[in-house]
Amino acid sequence: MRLILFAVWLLTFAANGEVAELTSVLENAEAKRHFYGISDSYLASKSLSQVRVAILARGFAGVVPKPEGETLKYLPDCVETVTEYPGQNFKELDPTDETGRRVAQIIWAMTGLHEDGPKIRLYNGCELSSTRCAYDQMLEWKPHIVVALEVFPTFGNFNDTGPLSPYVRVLANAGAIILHSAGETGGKVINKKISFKKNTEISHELKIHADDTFATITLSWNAFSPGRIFAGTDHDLDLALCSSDGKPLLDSNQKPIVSELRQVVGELNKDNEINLSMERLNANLFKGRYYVVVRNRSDHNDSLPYRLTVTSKSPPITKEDGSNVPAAEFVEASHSQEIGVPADSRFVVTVGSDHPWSAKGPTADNRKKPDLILDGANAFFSDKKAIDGPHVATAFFSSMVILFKARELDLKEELSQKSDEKNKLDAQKLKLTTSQVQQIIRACEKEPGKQPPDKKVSARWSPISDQKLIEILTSDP
Amino acid sequence: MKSFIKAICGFSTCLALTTLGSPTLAQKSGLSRELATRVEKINELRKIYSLNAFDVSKNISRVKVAVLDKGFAGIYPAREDKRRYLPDDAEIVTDFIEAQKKSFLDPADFHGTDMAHIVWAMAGYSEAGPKFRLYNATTPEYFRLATEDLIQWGADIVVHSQNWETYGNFNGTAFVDEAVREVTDHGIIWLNAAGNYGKHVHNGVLDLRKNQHGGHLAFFQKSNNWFLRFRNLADENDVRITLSWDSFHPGWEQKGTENDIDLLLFLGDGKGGFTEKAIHRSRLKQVIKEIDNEKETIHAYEQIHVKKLKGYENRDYLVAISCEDEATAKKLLAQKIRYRVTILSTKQPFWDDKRSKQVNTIEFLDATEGGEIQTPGDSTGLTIGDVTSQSAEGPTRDGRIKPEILMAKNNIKFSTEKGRFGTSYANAIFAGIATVLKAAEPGLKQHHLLQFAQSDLKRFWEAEGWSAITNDAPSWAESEIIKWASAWLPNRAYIRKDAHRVMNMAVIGNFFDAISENEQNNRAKQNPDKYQHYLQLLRSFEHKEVKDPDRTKTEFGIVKEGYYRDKKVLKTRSVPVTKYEWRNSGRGIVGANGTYNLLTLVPVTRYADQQYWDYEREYVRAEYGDRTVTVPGRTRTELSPKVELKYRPISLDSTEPPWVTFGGTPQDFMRITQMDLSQTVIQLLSTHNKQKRFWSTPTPSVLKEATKQ
Repeated sequence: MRLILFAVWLLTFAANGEVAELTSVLENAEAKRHFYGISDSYLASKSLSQVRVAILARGFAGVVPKPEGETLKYLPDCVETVTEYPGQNFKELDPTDETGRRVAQIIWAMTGLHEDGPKIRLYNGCELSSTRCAYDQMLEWKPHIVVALEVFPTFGNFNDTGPLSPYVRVLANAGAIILHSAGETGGKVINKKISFKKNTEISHELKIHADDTFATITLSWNAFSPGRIFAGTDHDLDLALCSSDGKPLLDSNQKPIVSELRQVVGELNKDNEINLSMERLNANLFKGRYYVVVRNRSDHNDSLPYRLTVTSKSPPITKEDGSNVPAAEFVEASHSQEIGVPADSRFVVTVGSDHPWSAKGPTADNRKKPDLILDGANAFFSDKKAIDGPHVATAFFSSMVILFKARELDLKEELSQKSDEKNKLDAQKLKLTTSQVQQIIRACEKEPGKQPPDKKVSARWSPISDQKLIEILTSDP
Repeated sequence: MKSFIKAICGFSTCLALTTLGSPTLAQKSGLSRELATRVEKINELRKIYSLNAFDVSKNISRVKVAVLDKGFAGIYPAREDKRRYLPDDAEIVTDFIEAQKKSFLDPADFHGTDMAHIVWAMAGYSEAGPKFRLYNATTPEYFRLATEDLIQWGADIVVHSQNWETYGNFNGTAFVDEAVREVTDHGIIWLNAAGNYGKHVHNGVLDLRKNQHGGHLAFFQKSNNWFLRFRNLADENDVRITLSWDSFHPGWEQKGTENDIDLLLFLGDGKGGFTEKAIHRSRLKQVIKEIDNEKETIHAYEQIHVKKLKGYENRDYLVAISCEDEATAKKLLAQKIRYRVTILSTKQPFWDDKRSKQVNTIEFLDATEGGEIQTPGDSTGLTIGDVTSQSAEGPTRDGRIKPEILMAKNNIKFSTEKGRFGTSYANAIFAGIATVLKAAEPGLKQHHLLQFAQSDLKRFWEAEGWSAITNDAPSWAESEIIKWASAWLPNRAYIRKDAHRVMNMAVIGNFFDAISENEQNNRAKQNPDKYQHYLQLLRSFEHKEVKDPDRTKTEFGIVKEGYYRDKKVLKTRSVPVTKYEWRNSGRGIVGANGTYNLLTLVPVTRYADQQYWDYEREYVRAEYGDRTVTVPGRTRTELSPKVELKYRPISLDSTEPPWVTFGGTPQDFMRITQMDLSQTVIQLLSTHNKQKRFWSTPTPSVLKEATKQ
């Protein structure tokens, strides 16, 4: 499954000699640098252009695909994109989703809008196969920082096992600092256990707050084998949607809305067979109550945890009391253990925000996630679009880590140029790794030693001094 | 004449409709499909407008509502899940056999769907009705064909929440206005959204001056500069700049014009300079007959549409009007051609932290006040606005008040949790109310609706002393004239039933400000106490034969500027009116059955122009130059272009005062002036702004009483 080929396009923003025009820039970059305590000296780093940053997302609209004849410029000319992996049949990037592009813009603006860096490469990470290929490809490019946005509600047991975990681990071990968004599944997850005795069935109430809500419901259960290989499972669950009176919900063709893939071990022989422990259904729903039914189709004497996640592109609904609810809401949502794959990996730094839809931890194996809850994760662009949430938090935090990385490279060079041996030794010791990023986070907890009021929240950010940073960089990992 | 029509609109007179797609949305199975969405809190909204008081059960199925729009997404194309937005028997007309150019509905545009759905919601979501027919009105040609069909269909109410920023002179004479007039002449209620043009329009008179490159650039009165400034505050803003000028021929006929001017866009550097070359330009060639339709047009318009315009906080975009041809420039200058520049963007207002308020992404720094009604909002239908600053304000170019009705409510939330607002939505809400009233009282006409909206105004007028006026001809003391002049404008459609008098003369605003400052000073020096004799008058009344037997004769005429002896200026004459009727153009006679004293303008002193004097009472008709035009199915009388040209202002500054020529004193004379449009607009607006007319739903008994007449 490893990929050999990939396509890289150098983005030529200034086609036909026309001067490309910078557009939709982050308007509150300076305010945010001030807010997070990033001094101007970081922006003047000589080594910033040497920092390599990979961004994985499901869409970079505006950059990929690039509208024909357009001279608008969102990112530096040195940005590259990796959108296809020849030989593989991948889902293409969503041409309407601009989240990845906005995140890249935040990173570029926060790091000073320098034309020569950091070096940014945009990767198609919109589903399992392309994400695995992207991680493989990164091994060759060796990015210093990986910014991953797409969090999957399946493809693992939410405890750092599953088909993506090895890829993440290998890349992290190769020295990449992987910063992962916690995902936007806050309040949209149910974690339960199901017995695999014959004909077991569990229903969960789903409340739809707006007509015409296109919802995707994903069922995932802990039957993923560790490692890269899809070993398959014979624990077979199905997913169905019923109306409030318990009758099967029908689609426009009068067929029941169900997902009835057959989980198998070994080779797949039929179209409806799958070796992943997941089911997924899509439905356009209208205001009211529904039931999501999880049905066991196998016969075993054990039971396994499962997770139901409902997602929708519809924005949250503001109720009359001013509170926000997701357009599609599980009445018995767990409000914990919402971290998806691969943000659950111990090799990534998972970043959340204080927005209600930012996924909360801990992981299924009870590790603290997200590693950081970043305050003030809101971005305003000059096209007057405003975005916020965990993706934006990840973008801001990534910018800081990029600047720290550049500082590390600067210091290395400064020390190595000095004649005495001690300095040269110090230079060799300098290194920013994932564990040091974790150290920085701990150093920047607003109330060191104390848990924030919300026990599920792991850390909140406050500015870090230059001195503290150097101390961490020179400390033993 | 048929070929003439064909040439104008590009369709034959056979108006059979194609039924492309699915013309009828009804399900054959008889099972009613579920709704795709609902208006949230519709019962509260109906309660606000007291709609529950009306019994519509008997007639709601008979009310026919036509909705003209450019997109009916969810209906055409229909939803995959077959859910619906309207009663099952709603119909849609997507195309016309006669149309030369195919024009398709935007499959992603829900605007028209929203309009129709809101009407249905306001009418109570009754499966029985009203009957809906939805029309593709994406182009003027389709619009025209749609109006022809809805007349044949026998629509009661038309909902149109679109406007064009050109295709006419904004005085109700555009060819699309004629289509609306045709509809209203059939007693059909036409409801048009005012449009969200508030502070997005500049009106002026072309003042072309030679530039260093040998061409001509228009100078703008307000800034005395060659450019109009606007600021774009948002990157990637979809901005449309439309220049339209008064070279459209009134009526059906689209003859084309050779008055060729161009539109240019420059970018300022924030320090008083600007880009050497235009960054965008629109240089269509205006022609009498179009040959190359990419480069030529018969329409007096230019448009620059920039899809992703860069935003700047401190730099202005500069809009310029140029004329390359010297002869054309001279001609335009002599004709004092009026123009309008409208600048729109697609991005919604945003919250500006610095100013702590919602800000439009486009700030048209040189926008003029009012005069923002576009085509066909300027026609004979009722134009519906709202109370926000985004709602276009009137009056029309010819001085009629528009919008006629302002709705306090202009926002809707659907059960999809999507909120929508603006004059379109105000119009749809109003259309829903009109549908209920029509179902309650089938005799409801457009003028009744206007009457109900004026309840507040009546109080205003009475407070101004009008209650004291009797049937007798008023003593035309100066104070009365002043009162009349200032009160007429916002109340032009007001009829005092007890007074049995029709005042039918367009008087413009507060005359003190209407005359230029210099003029005022000169007059004040000559006669410091009496310069209030100068009234600003524009178009008077119209005379027109209308086929509809319910319609009365109305007179159509033009008041010429000149001096008049005030004591004899306003005379009364008896005019028999057979039926109470109302001309929503604002130029008509109104009144209940009986004989009326029509106040008419009769010049008694010849001065400046012989013809004014010679015609005496008949001068209006002689000037008018009526002619007959055949349109599909009927014959109509039209205003001739010749008169329209003559109607333009004539300066009297160089003439000798009549009291010098004819003797007497200045106070014996009244001067009637046709103002430059820009002045007119300002004057009209100053009065207009004070007189907002809000909708107030009548009680069933008031409705019944009103519709009896």
